[in-house]
Amino acid sequence: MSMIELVVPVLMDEPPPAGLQPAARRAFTKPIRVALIDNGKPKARELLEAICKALNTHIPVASSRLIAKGSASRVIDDEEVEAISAQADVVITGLGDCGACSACSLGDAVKMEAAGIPATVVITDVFTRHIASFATTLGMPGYHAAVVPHPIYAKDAETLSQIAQELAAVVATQLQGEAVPPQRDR
Amino acid sequence: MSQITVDEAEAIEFMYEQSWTDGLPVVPPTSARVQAMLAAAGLSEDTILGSVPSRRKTVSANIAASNAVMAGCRPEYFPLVVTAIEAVFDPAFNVNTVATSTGGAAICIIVSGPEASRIGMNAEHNLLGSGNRANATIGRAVRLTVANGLGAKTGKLDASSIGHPGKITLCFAEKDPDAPWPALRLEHGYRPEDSTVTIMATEGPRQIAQQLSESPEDVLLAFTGAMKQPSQFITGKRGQCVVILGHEHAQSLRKAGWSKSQARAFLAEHSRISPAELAAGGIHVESGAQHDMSIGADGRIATFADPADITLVTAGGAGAGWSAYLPAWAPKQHSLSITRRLRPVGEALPDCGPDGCALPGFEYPSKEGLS
Repeated sequence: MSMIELVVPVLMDEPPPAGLQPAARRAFTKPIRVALIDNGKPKARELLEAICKALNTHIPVASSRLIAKGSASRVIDDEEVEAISAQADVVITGLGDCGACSACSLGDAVKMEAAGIPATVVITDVFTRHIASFATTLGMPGYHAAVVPHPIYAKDAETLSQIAQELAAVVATQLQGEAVPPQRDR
Repeated sequence: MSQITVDEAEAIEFMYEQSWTDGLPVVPPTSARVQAMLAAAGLSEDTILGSVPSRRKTVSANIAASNAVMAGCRPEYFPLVVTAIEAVFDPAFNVNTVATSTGGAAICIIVSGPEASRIGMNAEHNLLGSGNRANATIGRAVRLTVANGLGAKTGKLDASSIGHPGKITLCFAEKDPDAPWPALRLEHGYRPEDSTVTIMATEGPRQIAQQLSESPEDVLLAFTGAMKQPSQFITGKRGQCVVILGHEHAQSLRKAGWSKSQARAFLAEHSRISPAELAAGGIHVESGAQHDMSIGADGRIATFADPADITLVTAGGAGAGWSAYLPAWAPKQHSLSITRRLRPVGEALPDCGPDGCALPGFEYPSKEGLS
């Protein structure tokens, strides 16, 4: 048997930076400020606004602010994180209904968490496995997601409202309680 | 440099088991082979080629070299591989998104300049097909580096719904056009003796047949028919593309006195599309979403907002009248084409001082699309 040495051509995930962890959770007793990071995917804004509206039945919402990211394929930068952190108690990002946009909306949520702001990412059910891989790569394995049925772009306002109402309790738990694993596909 | 000892007779199967391959067999990346790659480019193994903060990954030369060995590259190809990989890490290319999109983008690589012929690249017959080692393995080395260096693999961080064969390799050389048309590297401001690498994230190539007319307008309208295909993702959304103008088609344009700029302007103008044409193909205009599909005064929407978004190169062999068209996989806000000069081995870098270089007049077109 002739043995050879191979150079390993693969980069493994690096260990998370020291101190990288989700924001601390607490029950909100006073009205909160919600930031919605809209990635511009069709119906993303409508769905995020519907979720925020429905969230009010679980957590008192003082105000909501919509942030249009402009491109679904970028992650917010440090300046944006700082600006949002100054004006929001919690963040909801989305809509992750494709490979790149789900990864980048997850990246937005992870960045807000690292900055101390509880967050969640809204994705469609076909991307649960995809963002689970990205969450590990980003150093927050097992990070939660608020999962909605795919596709969203074809849903009318009434259906979006219904989806949002069904999802609001999950979002409230994710923003206030312990980080939970992604839901099962719906 | 991390190494692992295996039975030589089982090496290929071992590499399959490790998911190091693209589905085709790969050459075992022994230390000697990897060192030969690095030496050909004058790089040390720990030279950093680029990083992707959105993946917390930094790729060094030894990762690129080991993947180039696996792809089947000869060492003299490696400087071009490195140049292409450095282009991939340009933030405006946005490889984090390119390599994970459900759209399944290829990294199309175009080499312009004398280095292409020096290493035996194909710019003639079947340049997008099989048979040329340099074309096939340079493109494969870049894709393998993205897969193994950035985790862009099926079931992991590559979410391609369908994908296409160009995701294995998609690389070719420009055939320098006859005067007075400028070669691609000259259009980017480089010298005839320079060699450049241009990359673009693309869908698969469409073959364009025009064998019944030599009229420049007819030749170019054959392309715009493909450019206006409604279900192509960039149609009406301001994208980029590669046009490979085949032998007969390039001759038709040059004989008629058309310039490359004139051809690009014609293509940009005639690829504009109306909402009705989109709707006839089942596609509707996005509103209130991320893509700019604003309707112009002519009642149509730009597929290419600027003629410069069309990378037009001459290549291919003589025949009946064939060309090719490769649309970018997504609109410009998601990824931009990048061109880099091949830096000769041993060329001194500028002395930038402790704070790095400020490049005069250099800025990215937009913050959008960066990650």
